[in-house]
Amino acid sequence: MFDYAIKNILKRKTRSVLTIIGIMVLINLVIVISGIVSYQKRVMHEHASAGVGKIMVQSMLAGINYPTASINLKESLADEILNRDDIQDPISGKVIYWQIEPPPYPNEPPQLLITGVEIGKEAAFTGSISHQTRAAFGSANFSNSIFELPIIMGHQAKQFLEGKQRKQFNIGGGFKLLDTNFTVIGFLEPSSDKVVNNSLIIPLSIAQKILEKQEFISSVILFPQRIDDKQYIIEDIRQKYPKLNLVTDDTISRNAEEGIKLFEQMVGAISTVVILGAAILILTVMLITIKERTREIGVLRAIGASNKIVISSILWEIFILSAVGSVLGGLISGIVLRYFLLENLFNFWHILKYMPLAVVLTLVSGIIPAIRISRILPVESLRYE
Amino acid sequence: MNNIISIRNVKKQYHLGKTIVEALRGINLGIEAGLYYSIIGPSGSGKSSLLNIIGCIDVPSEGKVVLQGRNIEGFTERELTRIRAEKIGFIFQNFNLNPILTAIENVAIAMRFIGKSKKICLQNARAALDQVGLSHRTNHYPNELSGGERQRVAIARAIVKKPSLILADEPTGNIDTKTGHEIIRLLRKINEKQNTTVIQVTHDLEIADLSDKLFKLRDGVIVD
Ligand SMILES: Nc1ncnc2c1ncn2[C@@H]1O[C@H](COP(=O)(O)OP(=O)(O)O)[C@@H](O)[C@H]1O
Ligand SMILES: [Mg+2]
Repeated sequence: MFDYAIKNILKRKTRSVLTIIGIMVLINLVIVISGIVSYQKRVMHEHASAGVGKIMVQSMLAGINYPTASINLKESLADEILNRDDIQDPISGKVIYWQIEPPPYPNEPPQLLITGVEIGKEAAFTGSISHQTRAAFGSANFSNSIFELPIIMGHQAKQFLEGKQRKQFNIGGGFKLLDTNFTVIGFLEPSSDKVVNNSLIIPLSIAQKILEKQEFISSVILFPQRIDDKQYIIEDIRQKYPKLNLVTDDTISRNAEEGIKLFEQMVGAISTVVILGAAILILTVMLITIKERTREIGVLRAIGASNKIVISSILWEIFILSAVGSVLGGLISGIVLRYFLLENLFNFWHILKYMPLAVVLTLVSGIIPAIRISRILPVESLRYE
Repeated sequence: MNNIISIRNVKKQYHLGKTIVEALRGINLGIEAGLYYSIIGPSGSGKSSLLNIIGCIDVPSEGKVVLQGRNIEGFTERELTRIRAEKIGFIFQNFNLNPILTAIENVAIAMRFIGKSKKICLQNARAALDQVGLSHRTNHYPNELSGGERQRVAIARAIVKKPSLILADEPTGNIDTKTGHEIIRLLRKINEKQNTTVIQVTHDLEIADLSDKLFKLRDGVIVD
């Protein structure tokens, strides 16, 4: 009865079009919201994996976030922590983080921040165990800089500022930050660590000065000599400094998971409600349609159509409306995710994953109409209106 | 005993709110294969009620309808549907064509229910429309056809599956007399050529005269 369903849909154009638009809007909503969440999840995992091998030590108040929002760890205490043999000295060091632009989405690092690093130990921040973020242009470290106030821009930080200030930055050019005139000495290549990407990197001592945080830092980054040492170092520091927080890649990903879990549950609940709304929409439309068509269905039954046949024609109709609505909703959400958000979040597989919703919608909204239809008797064909 | 249908003491009541309408008050009759029957009687005498029960569209409140040697009370809904689909062609007073289907589709759909392929259905539908003289109207929608043409489509729909029984409830009720007589002649021709049993309900005595047997109905009972 597929062809019969198609005819019914085409014959009742206004009803069909409005229903399809309704489904389209609701499906689009579900796909876009969940698209944002799954994108965030991916980013967080990348973010966490960027820190593989690192141990970060920060104050109790600083919590277990990376990057932490506070600058309250005594520098002298940091020096004491760094004074050990089982870490790689050149890539272990002190850092300061200072947010300039808040995160675009919750649970993400700031969109723009100042990161102060020790001269010669830039890699403690920009490196990970597997990868070192290099300079795309200029230099990725301050050691050979002839400038008094040098600054290195992370990939995203540069793009963000160029977009905002509508100008291009050049190596050797000036850049004003917190009333201080810096000289740009390097642009970094893109990194899998979003914090690095979004950072304006300056020497630690300058950061302390312009932020008026002399003798304080945000976090100490430690790289173990050997990966096997990591657990021992963690235990050792925990024992010696019970009042400090230790952050590792595990903590970061656990943290991220927890942050996003609530969000995910919320989105799950919203999606369920929205899908239910779509089902109720179809249900209502179909019940009205069946009411209008009682006589027509009665005639079909009188001339020999089985219950199965008339039910299948209505279920086909519901499925076609749902499927067309879902596909259009998928298309629109693709456009929204691609062009209408701060970043391009388009992912074909994510959208495809939601297409079976048409089947779910058919099953959920088809039960009551099917029961209604099965109650229509052949005598209905004789009703005179 | 070559009755294809026997009706034994059939009663039919309708409930209209609290009042009970006794439409049939004990009908006894037998239908023999291949004959042309007319049921006549004044309006409200129970003709349609009787025809619907014979056609397995409705069930009696009391009494027996014996079909193929079995009381229809014992048939499941599925079996009744099958009988309607295969053995009975129903023609309604107000045509009851599907407005979203063309003439040929209206005819073909009746054959789909007995599990024939779409191609076979359309082939047979074309032949049936040819038989009722409507081969030039196959792709018209019901609202593009005259009353007489619509009833011909309905007849084509009834005969397309080659039923053993055709039931027609005032088939000429909504069309002019001349066209009505043509329709009846057509039904009679089908009855004679294909040996299909026909039971028609009518007001028109002239039309009733064409039939082999006549049942007169009054107040829910058969008189003479
Ligand atoms: N569905 C129904 N509900 C209530 N009363 C009905 C219904 N169908 C028929 N009747 C009543 O039953 C009686 C017989 O009706 P019907 O069989 O249609 O007679 P006829 O076809 O001879 O005009 C009438 O009084 C009619 O009003
Ligand atoms: Mg009647």
